[in-house]
Amino acid sequence: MSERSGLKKFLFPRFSRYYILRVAAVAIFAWLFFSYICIPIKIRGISMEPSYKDGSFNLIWRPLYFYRLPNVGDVVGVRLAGRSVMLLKRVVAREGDTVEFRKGKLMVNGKEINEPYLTYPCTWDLAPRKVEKGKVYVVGDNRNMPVRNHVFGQTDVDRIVGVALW
Amino acid sequence: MVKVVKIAIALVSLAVAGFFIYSYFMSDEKKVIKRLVRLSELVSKEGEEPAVIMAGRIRGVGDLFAETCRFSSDARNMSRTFRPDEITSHTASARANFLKLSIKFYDMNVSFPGDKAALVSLTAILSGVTKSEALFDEIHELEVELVHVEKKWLIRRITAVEVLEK
Repeated sequence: MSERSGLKKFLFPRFSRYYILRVAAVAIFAWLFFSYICIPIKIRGISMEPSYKDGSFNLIWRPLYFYRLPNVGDVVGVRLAGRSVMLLKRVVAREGDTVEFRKGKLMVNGKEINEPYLTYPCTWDLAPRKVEKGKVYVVGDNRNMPVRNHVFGQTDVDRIVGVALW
Repeated sequence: MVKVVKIAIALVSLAVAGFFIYSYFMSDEKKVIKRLVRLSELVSKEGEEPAVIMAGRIRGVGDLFAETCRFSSDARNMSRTFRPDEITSHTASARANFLKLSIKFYDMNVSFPGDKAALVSLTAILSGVTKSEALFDEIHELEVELVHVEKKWLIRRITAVEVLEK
């Protein structure tokens, strides 16, 4: 009787009870991990271009915000009614900050913010507004459209699902 | 021959009984979700459609709404009440502006605050191609209130939730 080689065992496993249990354990762990910890997303739309292109793939990492609030510069997933569909936006201000746009330039607390991730021109003008308690202000990176056509603004921190991993 | 007839009668009786048991036990939550899915199917269009089909769909949309339905949006500072015939009229003219139109609902969370009332929060994605061949893509969180009238769930309020406040 010959011993099966390691490669044969790996490629053609025997369907023993333990093998089935291992497969079930891996499947359950994968489902939990990718449903609640690290959520895969497919990006749809151009509001975050060129940083994140339409049709590209990313992961939303949730544990970072289990113990801290989103920081300015973080690219976050914002949930709507659930987590199947999220908005992907960049945090530009936190609670208490005053946000405005002046001739396309982002101003926070009266100071112009350097945004190296912006590529396309922006001509927005938006009067100053204070970010309320418990909220963050999020905007997309592609501001080459009328201000009314871009979905952005302050949102509850509770709606922030996690941070884009890359 | 008699045996075949008896078997056929038994099978038909089982099918009828199964249908009634399924209808009886189909939960209210599933019925509410089914109504909303039906709304999205009737409003969506793949391309040019015969007038008869279009008329049938539009009539079907009106049948999903209560005597009056309030549409409101905090972001657009808008609140208005419509009758079913007004809703069908607006739906028909809106659909006529699109070559293709798709409305899909995600993350439908149903609750029953009262005996004959249901509240659904959901994410709606509206996408399509206009008559001038421009692409159209919008995403909204909606709160939909339905009321149970004569064994049917009818929509009586749709509110667009402001997720990002400019």
